[in-house]
Amino acid sequence: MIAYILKRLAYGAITIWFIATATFFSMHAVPGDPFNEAKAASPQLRQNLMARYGLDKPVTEQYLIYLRNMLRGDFGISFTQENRQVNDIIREHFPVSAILGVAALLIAATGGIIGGAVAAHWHNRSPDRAMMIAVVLAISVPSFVIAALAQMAIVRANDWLSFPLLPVAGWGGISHVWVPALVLGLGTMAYLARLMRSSMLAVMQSDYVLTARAKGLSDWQIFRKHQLRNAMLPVVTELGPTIAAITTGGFVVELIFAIPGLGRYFVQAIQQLDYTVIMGTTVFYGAFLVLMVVLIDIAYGLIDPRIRLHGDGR
Amino acid sequence: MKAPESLLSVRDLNISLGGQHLVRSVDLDIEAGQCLALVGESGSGKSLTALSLMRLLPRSAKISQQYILFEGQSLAAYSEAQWRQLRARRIAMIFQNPMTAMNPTMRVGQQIAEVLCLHAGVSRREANRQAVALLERLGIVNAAQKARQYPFEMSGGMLQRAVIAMAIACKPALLIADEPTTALDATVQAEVLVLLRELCNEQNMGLLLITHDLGVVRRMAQKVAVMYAGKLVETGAISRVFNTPAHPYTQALKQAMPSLTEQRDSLMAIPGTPPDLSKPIAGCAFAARCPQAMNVCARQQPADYLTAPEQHAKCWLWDPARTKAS
Ligand SMILES: Nc1ncnc2c1ncn2[C@@H]1O[C@H](COP(=O)(O)OP(=O)(O)OP(=O)(O)O)[C@@H](O)[C@H]1O
Ligand SMILES: [Mg+2]
Repeated sequence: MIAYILKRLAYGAITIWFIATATFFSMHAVPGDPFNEAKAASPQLRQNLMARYGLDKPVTEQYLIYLRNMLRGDFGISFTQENRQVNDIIREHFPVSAILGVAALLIAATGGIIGGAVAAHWHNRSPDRAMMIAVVLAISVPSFVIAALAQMAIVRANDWLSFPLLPVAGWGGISHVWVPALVLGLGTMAYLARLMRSSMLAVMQSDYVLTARAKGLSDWQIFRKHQLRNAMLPVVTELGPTIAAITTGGFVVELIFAIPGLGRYFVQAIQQLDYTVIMGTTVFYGAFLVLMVVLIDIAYGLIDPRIRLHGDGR
Repeated sequence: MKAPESLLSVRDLNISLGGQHLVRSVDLDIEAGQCLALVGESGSGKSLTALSLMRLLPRSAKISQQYILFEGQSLAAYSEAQWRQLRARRIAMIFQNPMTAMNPTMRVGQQIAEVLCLHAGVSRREANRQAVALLERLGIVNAAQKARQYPFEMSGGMLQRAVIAMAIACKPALLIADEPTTALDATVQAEVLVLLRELCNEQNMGLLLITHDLGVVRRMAQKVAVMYAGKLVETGAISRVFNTPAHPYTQALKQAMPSLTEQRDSLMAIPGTPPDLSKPIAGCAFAARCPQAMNVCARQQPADYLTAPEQHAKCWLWDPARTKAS
């Protein structure tokens, strides 16, 4: 198991290096630079930055400087916000994005697993049909539309109750988390529900479920002890890519709900061509996603003994 | 001669599924400590018959019978909860493929212990201990360690023993084995069969053995029932049915098998195909493939004729009227 984890981490490191390199060179391929804009940095800051990042040096040298700084965990200073370290921006705003993302993921995973199991249990009957229609809607309607509809619904509800049940936007307490997290997780939830449904249907047809019935177990006992874990396996494998979807989806949802998360800064930085912020957050997000995928692989190993016992690379 | 006490007795069992009348008017009698073999080609309805004896058929299946008596009790009106009490405790089943019959993400010992916890009401620790003891009794060395393994870590033969351990954990009165050795290689097959016979003798357990293999039937069973297209065409004592098969289908089976000691799956070697069961069949289902078919065969169903002591066949050849005429 340890060898297995180390191997995954090594692959992860290579992936991050690849992301960093690709970002660096594509940034250099983009026309224009942050100093051209009127709103850009003061001559003083500009001077310092030029020196520090060797912006007057050849690209390969800049690349090496950039890699060296990154290895030390230093993503540099923002080009557009004087004296603001990229590290500080991440430290301050990533937790907000993380809370939103984790909440969205939890909602998506529990909702998807329960929804899929319910649909499979009533296969081809009305709960299943309703669920599948909802799934198609949730997957095909873009999240900004759902976000707007959700905000409208909140406004209506607050008006009707004549006291604010839920805040329409902003950040602060628990009450600010639910709606954006649900909006953010909805597509993923639908996708996972569909996955769970088909894997549950396959499990229900399996020989070992017939064996379980022949043991005299009740439907609920069979579901809990024999169906759930096996049906969840494909869902857990899909959680990795799912986290990527939720992270990128977060950019939009944070903007719409005025949530001060890292995603909003990322979008802003792109608009302002703030090199260091773009590169720093990209690499950070890349590293974060890679780590998540490794964690999910480990979780998968815990659920499926076949992976745990065979994949340990002994 | 006094008939042995009947453990399970079913009359006129019918099963329909998806508009097909798949099991047609089947009568079964199984005695304690004895083995009844159910043979017939693929798709003849053997598994459906077996599953119906534990009410494990798909929900959409329609099932009816004149009566079903087990240990002197009528099961016809049993509720699902009552059936659950019966399953594994009084009637247990072994399925064909041990590789898929076990939950892949649960330890083998735990899967056996689960039955004991459920029906014997013992603690989990005691159930685990008994599970290991069962595996040991079925000839698994190092049973305590094997009990902690997952199904994918075991060989087919060992898994089938584990499946049998699971089935006999509560000492059922009737064991149904649906092709218990088809997925195993020849030497393991023989071992498993010996094991099953010992269990019948030791625990006075009735065994319904479903198989393609006439060699297995000869070694294991006292009685045999031959199924064709959902109907039992011939039933009787082993020696009768093997030496003097009365029904042309049984005769063809015997001929298709050059040597009964040779273990081969040869039930397919009869020319023609079984009839379509989605339409009602007027006469004998085998008529179209029967070398001795007469006019009456395709028109009218034959009755169940006594062809010799302890041997019955559903075939017009044994109609007393015809016998007298010729
Ligand atoms: N769940 C089901 N739905 C519809 N038809 C079924 C179902 N299960 C079995 N059948 C049909 O019932 C018939 C009898 O099936 P059964 O499994 O009892 O045959 P069998 O004698 O056990 O054959 P085999 O030797 O291949 O196991 C087959 O024609 C099969 O197609
Ligand atoms: Mg079968």
